[in-house]
Amino acid sequence: MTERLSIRMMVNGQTVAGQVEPRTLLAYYLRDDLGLTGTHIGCDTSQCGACTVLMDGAPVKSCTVLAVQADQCHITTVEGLASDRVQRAFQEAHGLQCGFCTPGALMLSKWIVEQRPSSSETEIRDLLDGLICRCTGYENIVKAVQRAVRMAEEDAPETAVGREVSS
Amino acid sequence: MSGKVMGTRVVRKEDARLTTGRGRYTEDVQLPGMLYAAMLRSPHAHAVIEHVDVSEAERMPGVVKVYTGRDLKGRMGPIPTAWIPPNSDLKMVEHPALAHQHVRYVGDGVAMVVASSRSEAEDALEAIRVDYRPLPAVHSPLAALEKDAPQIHEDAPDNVALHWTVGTPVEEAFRKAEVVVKRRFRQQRLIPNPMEPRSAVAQYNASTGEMTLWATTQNPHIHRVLVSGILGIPEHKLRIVATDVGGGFGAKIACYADEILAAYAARDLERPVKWTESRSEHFLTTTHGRDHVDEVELAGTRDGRVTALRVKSYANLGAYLSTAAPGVPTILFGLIVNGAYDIPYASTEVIGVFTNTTPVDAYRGAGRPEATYLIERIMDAYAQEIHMDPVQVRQKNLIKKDQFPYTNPFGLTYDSGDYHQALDRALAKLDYPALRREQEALRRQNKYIGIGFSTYVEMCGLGPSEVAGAVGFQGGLWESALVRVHPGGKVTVFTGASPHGQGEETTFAQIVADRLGLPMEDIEVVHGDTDRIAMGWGTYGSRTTAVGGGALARATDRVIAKAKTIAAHMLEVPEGAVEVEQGRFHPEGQTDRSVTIQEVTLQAYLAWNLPPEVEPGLEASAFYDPTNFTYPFGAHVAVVSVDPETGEVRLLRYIAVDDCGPVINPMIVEGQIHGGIAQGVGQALYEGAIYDEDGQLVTGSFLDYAMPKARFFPRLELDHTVTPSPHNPLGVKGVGETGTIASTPAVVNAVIDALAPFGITDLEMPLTPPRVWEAITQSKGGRVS
Amino acid sequence: MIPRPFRYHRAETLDEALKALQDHPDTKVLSGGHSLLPMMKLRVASPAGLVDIGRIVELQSVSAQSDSIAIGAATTYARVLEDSRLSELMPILHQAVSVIADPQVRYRGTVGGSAVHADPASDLSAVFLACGVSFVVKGPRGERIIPVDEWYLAPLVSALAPDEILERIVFPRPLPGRQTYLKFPHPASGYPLAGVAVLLDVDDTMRVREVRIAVSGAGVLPFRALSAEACLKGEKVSSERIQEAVSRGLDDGEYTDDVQYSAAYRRHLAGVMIERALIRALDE
Repeated sequence: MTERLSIRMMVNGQTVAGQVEPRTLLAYYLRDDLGLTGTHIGCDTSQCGACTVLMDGAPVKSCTVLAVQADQCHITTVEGLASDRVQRAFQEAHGLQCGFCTPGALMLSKWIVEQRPSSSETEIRDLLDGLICRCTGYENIVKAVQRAVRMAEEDAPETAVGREVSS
Repeated sequence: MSGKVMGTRVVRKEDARLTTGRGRYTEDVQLPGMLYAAMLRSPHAHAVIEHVDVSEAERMPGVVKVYTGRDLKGRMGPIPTAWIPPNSDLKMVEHPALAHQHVRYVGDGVAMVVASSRSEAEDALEAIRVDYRPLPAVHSPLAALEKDAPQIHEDAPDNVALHWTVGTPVEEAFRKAEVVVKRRFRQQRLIPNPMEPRSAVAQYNASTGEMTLWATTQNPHIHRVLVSGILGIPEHKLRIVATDVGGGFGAKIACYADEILAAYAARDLERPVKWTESRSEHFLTTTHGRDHVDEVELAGTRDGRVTALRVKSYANLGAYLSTAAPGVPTILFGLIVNGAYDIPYASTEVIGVFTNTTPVDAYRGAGRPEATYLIERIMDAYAQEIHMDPVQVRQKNLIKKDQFPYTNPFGLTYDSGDYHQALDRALAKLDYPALRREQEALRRQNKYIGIGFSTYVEMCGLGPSEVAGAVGFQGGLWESALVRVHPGGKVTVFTGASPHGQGEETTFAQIVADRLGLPMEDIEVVHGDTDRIAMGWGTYGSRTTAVGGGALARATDRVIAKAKTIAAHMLEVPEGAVEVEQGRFHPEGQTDRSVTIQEVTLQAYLAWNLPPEVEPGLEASAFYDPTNFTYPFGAHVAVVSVDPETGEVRLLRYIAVDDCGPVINPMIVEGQIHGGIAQGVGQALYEGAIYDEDGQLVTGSFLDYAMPKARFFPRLELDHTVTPSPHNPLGVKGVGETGTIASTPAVVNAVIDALAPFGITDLEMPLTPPRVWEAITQSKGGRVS
Repeated sequence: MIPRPFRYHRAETLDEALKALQDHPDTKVLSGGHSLLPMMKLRVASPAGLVDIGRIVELQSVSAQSDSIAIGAATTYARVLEDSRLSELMPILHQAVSVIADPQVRYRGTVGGSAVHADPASDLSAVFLACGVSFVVKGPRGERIIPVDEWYLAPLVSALAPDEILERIVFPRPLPGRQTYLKFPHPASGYPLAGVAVLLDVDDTMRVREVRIAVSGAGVLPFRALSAEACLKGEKVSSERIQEAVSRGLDDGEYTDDVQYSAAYRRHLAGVMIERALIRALDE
């Protein structure tokens, strides 16, 4: 039963290829096979969002995507966010405490900042529904998102992660 | 040279790694040849294990070994309890790491599989055959005390784990009382749910006998003591590492079977072993919090003076005694039930009860939220009884500024405070009279808002050690710090505290930066590693900055003292004639001639020309034991709306005025308060563990157990007052738990206030829509089933 | 939490997927995976194989005809939200999809996945019922068109046979112009404790020409509140009339009962949400 399938994807701008059991979840593939341990697993019912990564530019819960489903996709993890304004905004607004949900919070927030920048505070809170944070009471996560939006407005817009799939 | 950083919003040093995915949590540790452990857990709340057959599991692909309770019996010590309150008749029941005869809650460990991969370990669990003979189970503390209740431990007759009383005689005050108010409050069971599940990675070096255990713990040094004892690994060969820990909230204080088992297997197999719980396992096996039934009686006068308080509590401790469990509903609860009020007579009686449920231990606030809830709720009930505004009743009974230090009826000495000022600030922010008028107007439109208050005080900053000993805590409660200035002038700080989200890598660096006059980036704070830090007691009970920070301040001052001696020698002036300012040492009154801390440090290490009797090097340590607890306080106000049709409660405003003494980093302090409030609101409105009749946890996932979400909250309104504590060098009081302690009763008081027109005087938490709707419907004589 | 081992086959066409289903017994269809994978991780579901239809382009198309709109089964919620033509033609679909779960789930979850999973607490079930959609399914016996009234057989059981695949969901046109989806979410799961879809048409005198009311979440099965509709149809709208309709309509459902949310509460809540949804539809 331990059939293994070949997969190939672009992770944080680098092509990676490997063999996985079909049942391997993308989150475990990133963590165990690629050593990208920034992506965390906080629950087993697809609720908490700590494992959120960008898949072809869209935030997805990598604990509920099979690695084989991500074959040929572009994946961005928190490690691929290097020096992003969202990270800076989280630092400056104290949008994290223990840091465990933070990778997911950052990836979801990056999407909000880029795709839903005109959201009101209430709308931001609704968009954060796919995230459970036990430390911050969300207050400073909301402020971090707003701060990142402001930073984005002030700077030149950043290039969004491509949505197209290479083959 | 940097300016002063104490009191400023310095961005956290931790965040550079935590926002880039470069933190190193236990589950991130990957070692060559590592195996994975998975636990088979009892599906029954109470049963006898008749037979365990692991033969098929052992033949499964990738399986290296399967362990059962019988295999391990006598090969390791039991899971210990480290808090034995005196005069509590505590029943120290045995808690084996894997059950070998009885299982006593759903989730109790029965067997461990060790395999080459996570998935193979999980697969093999399904191949283990266990014959159970189910026994009747009981999950509520009151039911467990009934005559015919199932007996859970042979050594604990009637399921009584402990019985403890404390306080002053109250009978006469109750006899003379003009008013007596009685309530029974249910403190529902909560599930801590830090976002990082528990995890352990164990590596054993057979040639040296050294074990390294990475573990998700709030107190690695306590773990070293306990794990050393359980597994018989001498402490100098046992290293516990807990560098990045993803939140704890008390649930990572306890010593758990799982990490012991992983370490046992690593030694037995001479291979690294990793174990990580799933969230479902967390719900079942990581300690829960609260779970009391509190019977409360308040005696008072018609004009609003409280004269006595009597509390009888039934505390559910679960199936076994977790590490700190016995101290939580006794010492941390019973001694402070009078809260922030000057009540002449008060007594607490606590009955700790075994049930067929997950063990209960500390959860953010640990005992003090339960105490604060009952006093803040009964103050409102009292106000209602004598037709007085709840604010006025509080103002009449709050301990006054000139009463400090104040000794409460249980013998605690409250350090310092101005409780009235905090309440006044909150009222001003609220515009109370206007809000009451609005409430009246809205009621006429069949709309309901409520205003709830909580004027709290808590005791934290745990030590001192002498008190720890007196209350049966099997450890010290001092803290250690070592400040090492390196030859080039950079500094490493080693602390025995073990922060896991609270940000002390930053606040501790701020303390040192200002004292030594060094920039933040020159200071690194090391924690969570027993090989790098000699000893410490960890992070819980809002003790880290009060006690660990106290140690650090002292150690830093010792470094400065030595540096001054050297500087005086370099400047050729008498030692007493040197002043230090922002990292520069100069003769008194002469700022034009000076040496820098870096120059002094270099001389200290070169040791070419040191004063007589001065040893080379520049470092100092301190083992600081505080002289008292600290007592943060404040006033919290919740404003809620209740939808009378759906029963939904919305938080409209939340005002928090807190006093945690001098603030080192306002950004971090505010963050602690935000998170604390969210957890307290969670208890008031959303969270609650529910067991069914068979002892199965019904709320066993994030699908059923409602964790607070971003959309549940308005923007929080924070303010603070500053009253230093006289009991530690920094004057700080601690802020890790205040939000959780204060907010639950504020929110419930607000909801009950909103529901006053319906004649509703109390509701059990969490105040979910159906509960509120049922109460409203019943108040109108309607049917709810 | 890792699923038991299974075979995986990514199909490029619907026919290929159908063949895989036939060739391998105990094979399940994987679309977005947001209903199936969570069950497999908890090992509640353990199919021997999965056939992945997530990349079959023909299953992701949206086409509008004069008398109908067809949405491919593998169309993600996010795709629905991005389709401005869809939100114009069927605002209720947009409203309902925008409150399903959270942004991450909406990028993976699919319209067809929701239908096939047949969770009585799916937001879309109320919309499907109110709109009177048809499910076009393909299988070894050819094509079947299943009206929504025959779709939800039992909790988590739809009329789809194990060897069939849902191809598209067809919404009839025109639909009544006033459209509202209103939901009261479970605070933990986000599923509706009561979700109400209302489609309404009134004339200039506020007389009801056409009304459809469907409820998700509250019931053991999603249901149409036909008695409420009958009570309103042809009548002038008034608050008394709405209340009468609500109280009758509630008898059309059989309500789920659990420790946290009793059947009595769910029934009551469904009534409140029906009333509010009707009022909101009228206010539009």
